[in-house]
Amino acid sequence: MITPDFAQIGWTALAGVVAGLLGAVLGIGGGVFLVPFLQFAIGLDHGSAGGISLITIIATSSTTSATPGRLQVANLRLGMVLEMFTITGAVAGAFLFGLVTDRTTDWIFGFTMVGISAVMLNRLHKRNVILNPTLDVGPLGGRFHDYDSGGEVAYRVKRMPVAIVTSVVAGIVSRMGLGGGVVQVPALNSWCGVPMRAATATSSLMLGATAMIGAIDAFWRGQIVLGLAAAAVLGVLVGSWVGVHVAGRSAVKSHKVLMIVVLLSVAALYFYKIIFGDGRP
Amino acid sequence: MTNDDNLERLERHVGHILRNGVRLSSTALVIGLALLAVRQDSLAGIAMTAGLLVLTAIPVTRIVTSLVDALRRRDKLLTLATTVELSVLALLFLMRSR
Repeated sequence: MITPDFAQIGWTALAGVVAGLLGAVLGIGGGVFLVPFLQFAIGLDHGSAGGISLITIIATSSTTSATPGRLQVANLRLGMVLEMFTITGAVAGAFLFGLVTDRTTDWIFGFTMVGISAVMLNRLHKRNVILNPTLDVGPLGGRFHDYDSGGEVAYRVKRMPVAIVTSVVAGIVSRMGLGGGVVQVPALNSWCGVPMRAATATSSLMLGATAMIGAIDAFWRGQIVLGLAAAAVLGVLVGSWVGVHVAGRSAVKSHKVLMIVVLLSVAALYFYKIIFGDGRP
Repeated sequence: MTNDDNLERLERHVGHILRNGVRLSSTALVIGLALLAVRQDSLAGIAMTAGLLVLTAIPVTRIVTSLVDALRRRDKLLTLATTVELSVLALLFLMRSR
């Protein structure tokens, strides 16, 4: 366990701002940015980096979800049903995490990023919104006002088993500091027919509960560096506040492109570390 | 379905919990970092731990509120979902505290 100096606290706060910004815009909690930062720039192990990231994810999830209008776009019913599976997966993930080496989690982290970007790239031009507000959306579907199409849109949830399996997987990988949105948003959007904005808002709400499991686990293992965690959370809050006020207006397609760029960069970083080492034992 | 009207009430409650939880937590964290800056390390530790615990408690509070709301609306699906969630959480505490 390290005792952080003020420079490290300052840089962590700044990284938190960037993570919060990305998290609010993309609905992925910002863990994909913060975890590598804490590992590579501050020198924490994956357990501590993941734990701190998860705490910030609870903060991002809470603020972005509480923004007026956002809870209406989020699908509360779908979110709470899937949350059952992400939480169960997260508990399993917390126990599995203790069994594998940092090198293994780095491989999993890297490949997760590549896999998700491939799915996102494949679905870049597709949209799931149905411009017919009278559509019967079923027990789990939803409707909301969409800025891109300028009207009320409705959607049904397709392939529920896929959503459930993805949720369990998202839960399991969450202990690495990911919250699971990075798996869930593309899956809900690409395979289950949930429009990007609804998928992001729903996932954003779920992330908090999923992240909570890993965060509690990290507390228990004594992996939370208080000063860094506090700085990261406050940074993330500032970043996500800014992000929320930008995200509502920018186009959906640019979200997807930005997400792919972020994911591939992070994957490259991890593969580089695994292959060439990072100068640490 | 009349569920839409009723969910609005839950949306409002959830919004309140999220906003106030984050306010409380971030206040404690700011105080903690300020205390750290003036070298009051043990007080800083207490404030920061409190802030992080409040933050971690937000999702639990949200799930409990949703359960109460689901029971009130006799919403079987959400009652089941939130009950399972709280049970899994209880299981985690049980296994960890042994």
